[in-house]
Amino acid sequence: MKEALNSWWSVGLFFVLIAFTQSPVLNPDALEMGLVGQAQLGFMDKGDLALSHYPPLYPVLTALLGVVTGPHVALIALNFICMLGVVFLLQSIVKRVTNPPFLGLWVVFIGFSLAPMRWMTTTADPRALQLFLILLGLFLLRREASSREVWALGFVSGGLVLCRPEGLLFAGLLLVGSWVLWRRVAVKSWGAFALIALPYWTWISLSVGSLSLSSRAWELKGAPLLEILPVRPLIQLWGTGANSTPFREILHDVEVIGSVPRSGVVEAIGASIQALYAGCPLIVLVFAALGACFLWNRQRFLLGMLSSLVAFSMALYLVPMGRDLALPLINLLPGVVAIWTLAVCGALACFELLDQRGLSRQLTLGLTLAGILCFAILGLSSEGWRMNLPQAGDSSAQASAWLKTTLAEDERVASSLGSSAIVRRAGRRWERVVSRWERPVLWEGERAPDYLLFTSVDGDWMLGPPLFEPERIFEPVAYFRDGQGWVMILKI
Amino acid sequence: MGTAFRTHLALGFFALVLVVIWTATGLSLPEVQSSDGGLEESRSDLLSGELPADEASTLALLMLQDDQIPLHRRLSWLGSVVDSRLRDAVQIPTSALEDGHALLALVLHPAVESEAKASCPEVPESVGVICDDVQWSALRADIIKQLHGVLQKRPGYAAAARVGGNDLSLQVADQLCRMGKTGLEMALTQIRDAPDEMGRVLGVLALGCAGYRPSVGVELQRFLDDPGALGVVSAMECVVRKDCSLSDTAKMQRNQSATDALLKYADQLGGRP
Repeated sequence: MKEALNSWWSVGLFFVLIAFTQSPVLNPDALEMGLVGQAQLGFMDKGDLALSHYPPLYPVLTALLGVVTGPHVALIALNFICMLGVVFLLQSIVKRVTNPPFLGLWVVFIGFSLAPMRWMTTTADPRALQLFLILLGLFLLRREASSREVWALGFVSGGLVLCRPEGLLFAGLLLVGSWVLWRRVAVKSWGAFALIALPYWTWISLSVGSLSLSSRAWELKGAPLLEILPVRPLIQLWGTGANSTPFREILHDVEVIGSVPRSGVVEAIGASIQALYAGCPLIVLVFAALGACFLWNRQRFLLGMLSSLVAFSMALYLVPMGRDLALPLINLLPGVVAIWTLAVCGALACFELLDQRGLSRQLTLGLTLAGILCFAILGLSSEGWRMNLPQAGDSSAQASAWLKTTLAEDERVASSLGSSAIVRRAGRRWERVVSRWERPVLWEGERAPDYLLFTSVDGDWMLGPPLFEPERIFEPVAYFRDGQGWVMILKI
Repeated sequence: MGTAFRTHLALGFFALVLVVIWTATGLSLPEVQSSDGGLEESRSDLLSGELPADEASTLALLMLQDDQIPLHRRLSWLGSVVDSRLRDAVQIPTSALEDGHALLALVLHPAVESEAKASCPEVPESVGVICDDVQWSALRADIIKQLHGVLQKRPGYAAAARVGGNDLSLQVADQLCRMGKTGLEMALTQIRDAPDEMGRVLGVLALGCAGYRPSVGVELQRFLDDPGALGVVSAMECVVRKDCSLSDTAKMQRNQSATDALLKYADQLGGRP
């Protein structure tokens, strides 16, 4: 029990740090996943949602948690819990290598200094669950694992496939790791993995009519379109065409995949290294390098797994769908967690070295506290990622409150997917701004919205003629401004 | 082992309860402070000059066409209504008294340009050059040339572009749709002279404007037989217009590459009631 409590105080500290410095943010993608989860469990009609397009684990878990907490709270709470789990597991993994007195503090404060980790903790997104499962897999991978743990690793790997479209990549890493460690015994893990993954792959293959190992195979098929269309209308086709015109199904019908535009390996590696360099404080990267040297001497298997984690994340940069200019680290998060782990090892290695050199206890303590303070300041002083979501500021909360009190329940508000959380948080009916060629769908018929909402992140393009016919009258009715941006609502 | 597991479970549950309370508190909506969120206040502050247009650029953009507002006040907002990235991308040689960003905005908003020209010489010094036909025509041509340059700039891959207009070249193409005759000429030049296919595609998008620009069906029809991206995008523009119809070539269900999916999509789009 004492051992368990020892592991949990750092989790508590991480919770306190995040709770007092961050605020919860609803991510529009996650909101859509929330609806998918409710549809999967039969809590609501699935409408035009194609359930096989979404990996089911995160939607189902949030829908279940949502029964108790409400759907929006569940989306964020699951993330927070997963990231607390990541802190716990990361600490447990490092503890197997070295266990000095301040391990928990290093884990918490280095993690807190990483903007993507703070973002992931408080923003609804299935990637937190993915990170938790990866860390859980690494935790289970130890030479003296029990039979139960060998089976569990297989289920965790299966969970990764059900969690994110690229899940097979990381599940594969864990399964290869199991073979390296356990050899023939690893067959149990592979069997457990197959028990979960095969039915899932069968389901999505039957849904799309061709062999598919990822729910997003259609997206890769459409990737060559990046050579034809500018990004925005293409993304609108991807997102909205899937609902109004069956664009995804059209992509499924494509017989020959064509050439998915792949970046050169060197260029992709360069871009991902640049993203990691820009997204992680330099001191963390330095400690990570030291940690790699430390693990080379102590635990080469762990070093191999962590470096593979970084390399596999970077591999996502080879395909265009893996890149995201607005959030360059979003698909490199497993790599960031690996860097976090290495940095903790590096910091501990430094102090182990100082200890061996016979430094006085007071000086070691002073240096430790100074290092931790440095990471705390880094965490408190960098805002970074939060600026990228339109619903992160006070103005969006005000706008949601305004929509809730001003609009009748059957009135509809149109916005981009990115700004949809503002409408959904208010509990009002949301319509997606459709692609430029589907304007009549938006402005005519049953789905015609009553209001248009756009934010500083959307920009002014929605006011352009492709969306507004000249004779259409629209009038600004509300405008919310804060230090982070603005929200404007127009009556159509 | 059993005790440790139960302790972990209990602490995990306790953490979950705390997290749920924190999230529920954080997601609760605030009181509505005003009936328009501060719209009228921002408007009057903009009109009185107390609110810098940079801090409410979209509102200023919406108010730019309002001819009830004195011209000099609207002209003072000009420098702010252009996207900051576009301002950075277009370098305008001006004297110390002139405002390059405002001049760029005048080219992008021909209606305000005409109004300002009609008021010459009663315009602020920052845009005074528009009253000199020779100088203004040279400067305008330079700005238009640079806008063509921006249309050639390719954004990197950005899945998050779904959140809005992160795509500067497309933003300029959209802007051409609001620029009347100048925009039409620029779109045609773009289709003719762009060095790559994506540049020509942007020209087609700026020509058709998703059905908004009138009487360009014939021009669009000319590109339908293009075997590349130009043909595909022309088809997309064509299906939303009455003055254009897909040719048999474009309607062919080749189904051999992902690009043909767009044609199929256009076909379905056009066939919808």
